[in-house]
Amino acid sequence: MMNLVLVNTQEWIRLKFFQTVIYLSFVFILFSYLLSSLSFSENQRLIVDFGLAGLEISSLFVSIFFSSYVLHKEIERKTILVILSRPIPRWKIMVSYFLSLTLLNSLLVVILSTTLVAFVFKSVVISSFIFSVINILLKSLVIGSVGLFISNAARPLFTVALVFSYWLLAYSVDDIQYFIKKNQMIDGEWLNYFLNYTVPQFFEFNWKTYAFVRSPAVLKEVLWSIVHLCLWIVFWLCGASYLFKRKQIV
Amino acid sequence: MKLILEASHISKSFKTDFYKKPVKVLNDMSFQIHKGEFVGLIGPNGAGKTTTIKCLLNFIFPDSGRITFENNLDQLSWKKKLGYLPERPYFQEFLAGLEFLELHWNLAGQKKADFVKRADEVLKMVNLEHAKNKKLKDYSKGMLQRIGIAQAIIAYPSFLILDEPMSGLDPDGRILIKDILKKLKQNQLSVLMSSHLLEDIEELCEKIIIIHAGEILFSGLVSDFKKNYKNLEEAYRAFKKDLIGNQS
Repeated sequence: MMNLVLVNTQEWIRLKFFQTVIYLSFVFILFSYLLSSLSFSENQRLIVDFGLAGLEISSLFVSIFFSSYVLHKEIERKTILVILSRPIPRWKIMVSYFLSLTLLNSLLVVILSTTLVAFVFKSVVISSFIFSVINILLKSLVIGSVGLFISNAARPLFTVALVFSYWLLAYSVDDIQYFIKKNQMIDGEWLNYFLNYTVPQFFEFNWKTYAFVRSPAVLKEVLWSIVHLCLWIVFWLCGASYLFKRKQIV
Repeated sequence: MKLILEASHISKSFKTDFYKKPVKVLNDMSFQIHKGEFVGLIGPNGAGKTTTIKCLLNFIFPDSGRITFENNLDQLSWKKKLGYLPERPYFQEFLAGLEFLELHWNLAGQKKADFVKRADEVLKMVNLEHAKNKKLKDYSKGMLQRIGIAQAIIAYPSFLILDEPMSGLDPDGRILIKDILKKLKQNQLSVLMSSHLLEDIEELCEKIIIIHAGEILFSGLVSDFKKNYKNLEEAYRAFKKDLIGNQS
């Protein structure tokens, strides 16, 4: 299976899309550095906030596009047919896609966060910074596993739209629930219930901020976020593997 | 002779859209392939050749029927003994020929230590020793088809499925592929090959299966099929003429 993971990762690294994302993220981090020079007292905050936001957006882009297109591309080019003719269970193929995405995103995150930390290492707590970056990586992997699940049943462009909406929803669950609570017209109990059990709570772990990385992180919170996000990854990945097992490769 | 593959009463329908009725693509197809047999799958476009192959390989799931390999139903275990070349394949073009074969050797679950020896044998057989370190993007169409055959046979299969292996090749390329397939035939490999090229089928296969609209119209020896005719093409023409006559 690791052979498949490495081949897929190599293939995606060679794509112009991935190289463009890395290039644009670098530009974004440099831009935040230049922007910070306009401020007397908040320059570190500007670099960190912009840099981490750039990191999250770029890893999100990679996750969404990789997960939406990888299967479609393999079926269209028939590379999947030769792989499926080998004695490998289908779930392993789906897991290999996920591991390729993990490698790609880890590579992206390591390169960009190292660049970012070079600008701000004096004013942040490194352990908190690392937790923040891990949090971003795990969130992007949750989105990737959702993308793999949906791509089994939908066309790539539709998958991109759905996965992006899911990411927005994961950040806005608390706002939606507040709106439901305040609005007397809606009987929102079932909707609250539905949101709690189908969408990860990204808004609870919004750690891509200067405020988070300048002080030591609470380990309990960090562990809870890792467990929460990993469980969502497993949930969606199992769903994706199940759908792929039943998928007819026409 | 030892039975290698048995497909019995395979049927398959597809829905082209949610609101449309399913279209029957394969209708109660049954056939057998024995050890060492070279079988040609013939039929017009849309007859169901590729669908049959996809059912055999479990890419799509038949609505009814049973497929066994050496009397074994477990797909994963019999895929260890199977090689497959799809029609007009695309391979990872950034890999070198040898790396590509190594990928498939590993996917087939073979021992890493034995790879170099086997790769040399296979590359020699498909006449690609000189290009083993070349990237696949620099291969010609004929070379890609040959490396495709190499990946299909690398893990010592006992059964090969080739979907239009000669499609889109120039005459030299076809001759090369035919020579490779003749070598495989000498090694007692069982092969199922779909093709539109009747002269190739006649030259390579001793058995044919003719499919039309998802049904098997003939299954048997090439010599029996063409016994009153000069060659397979003439026999096929007469067969189709009779078929159209009977239908009208």
